[in-house]
Amino acid sequence: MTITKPVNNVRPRPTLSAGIPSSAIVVAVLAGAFFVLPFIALLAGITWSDLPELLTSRSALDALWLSLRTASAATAICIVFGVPLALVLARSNFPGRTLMRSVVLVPLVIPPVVAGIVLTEAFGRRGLIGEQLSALGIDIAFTTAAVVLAQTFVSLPFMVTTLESHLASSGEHYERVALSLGSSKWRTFWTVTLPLLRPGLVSGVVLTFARALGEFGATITFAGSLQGTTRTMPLEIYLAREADPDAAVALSLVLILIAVLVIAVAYFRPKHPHR
Amino acid sequence: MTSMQHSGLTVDITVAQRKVNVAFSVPHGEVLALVGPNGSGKTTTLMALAGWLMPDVGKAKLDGTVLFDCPDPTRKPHKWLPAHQRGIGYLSQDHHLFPHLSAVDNIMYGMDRADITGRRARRAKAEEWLDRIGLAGYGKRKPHQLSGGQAQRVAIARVLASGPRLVLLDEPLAALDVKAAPAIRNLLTEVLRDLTVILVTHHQDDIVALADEVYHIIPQR
Repeated sequence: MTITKPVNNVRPRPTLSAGIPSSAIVVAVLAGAFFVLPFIALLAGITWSDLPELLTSRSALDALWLSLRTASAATAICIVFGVPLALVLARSNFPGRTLMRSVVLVPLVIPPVVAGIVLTEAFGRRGLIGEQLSALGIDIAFTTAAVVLAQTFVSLPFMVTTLESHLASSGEHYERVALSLGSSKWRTFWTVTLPLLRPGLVSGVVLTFARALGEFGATITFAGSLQGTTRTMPLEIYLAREADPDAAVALSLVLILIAVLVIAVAYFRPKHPHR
Repeated sequence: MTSMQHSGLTVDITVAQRKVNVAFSVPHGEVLALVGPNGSGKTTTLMALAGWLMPDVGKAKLDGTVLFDCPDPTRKPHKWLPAHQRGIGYLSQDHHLFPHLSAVDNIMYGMDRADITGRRARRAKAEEWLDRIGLAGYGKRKPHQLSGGQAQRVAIARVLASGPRLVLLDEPLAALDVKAAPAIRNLLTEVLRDLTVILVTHHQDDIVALADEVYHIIPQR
């Protein structure tokens, strides 16, 4: 009888998977390649020596700065409105809740250009609300505020659905305990609900910011394309494609890098969020 | 407010949907064990008292204060004291320590109600509690760094440090292994002295060790 000696520094064998057919693995690899190849192609198409010049043009810097500002503002607004909305949807029981939840999802499924039309009808100079605001001297359409509004409109559903699923799965046990310790609902919200919602909030912020940063259709329809005011990065890239394809590729690279950075910051964190 | 009528708890509730109908009273400073088969309404009773569930019909009074008064299932209650104003502490088999707070911060969480003001005084009181539950030096640990028994001890300290007028214990030892349970049962007999308590349990040991009186709920069929 031979006795196998324990060997140090050997990775433990992983548990074997129970149900993946080999053909599925082949298709999975193909699907992965489908995602990765276009990015490799983009990198291959870049003239690296021209890059600094392309990225530091006045219009590129304006667009980048505008995009970062507006996407951050839209994300902040989505937090302020999204948290209460998700709380109401996840934890209250009122007639019409299902309808309200469907309404929140509408911006996710309509084409962004339609979102732009809808916003124009509401907040445009002759829109339902826009006309009243215009009488007060407030014009929203074709301003930076319009960009933020368009981004908020299309990205709020990402925040709400992410938070809602976190709230629904975590239940209300901790909140009940807090109330039984004499904590008011308001204090319980700030000291229990919100801290426990942090992982959901991080995911929500990432998705919201990414969606806002990439917003194109609603922005160009509702806010137009004025350099430094409403021409965000996606609009700048679209315009550059006609005049200077190299610049369009270079600017795309910047948006990709920002996306990678956001995902890295959000998802590569210690496993215990409450450590 | 010291006469017998005004001291302790009286409760009488009906929750039709759950087929619950109970009426009992607990004198001030006594432990009442609530026993009965599954589905007989033990937890429903505790939830109504804690303020998380509104009975169809019912009334409860604690130390002279009306907790709720619901005379008619079709109308709004005459009185419904919000959960956080009832002075009723709750502990279940799951400790539900706030996972983002340390043991000491968990114990300090309810001290607003106990009129302990000032962060230093509260911390000192919380340290005192840690000492009392045999966990001196564990204050900085987060709940996931405690064993099940240790976490339940901290949860007991948290509930009592909040100065409740009534303590609801819902199977407080059910989740603990046979080794940890007796020590925590002993701890409960010591710390619950002079408190008004309702204990829901399936265990004879708990009743013998902790209860002054037993109320059997007979299921409605």
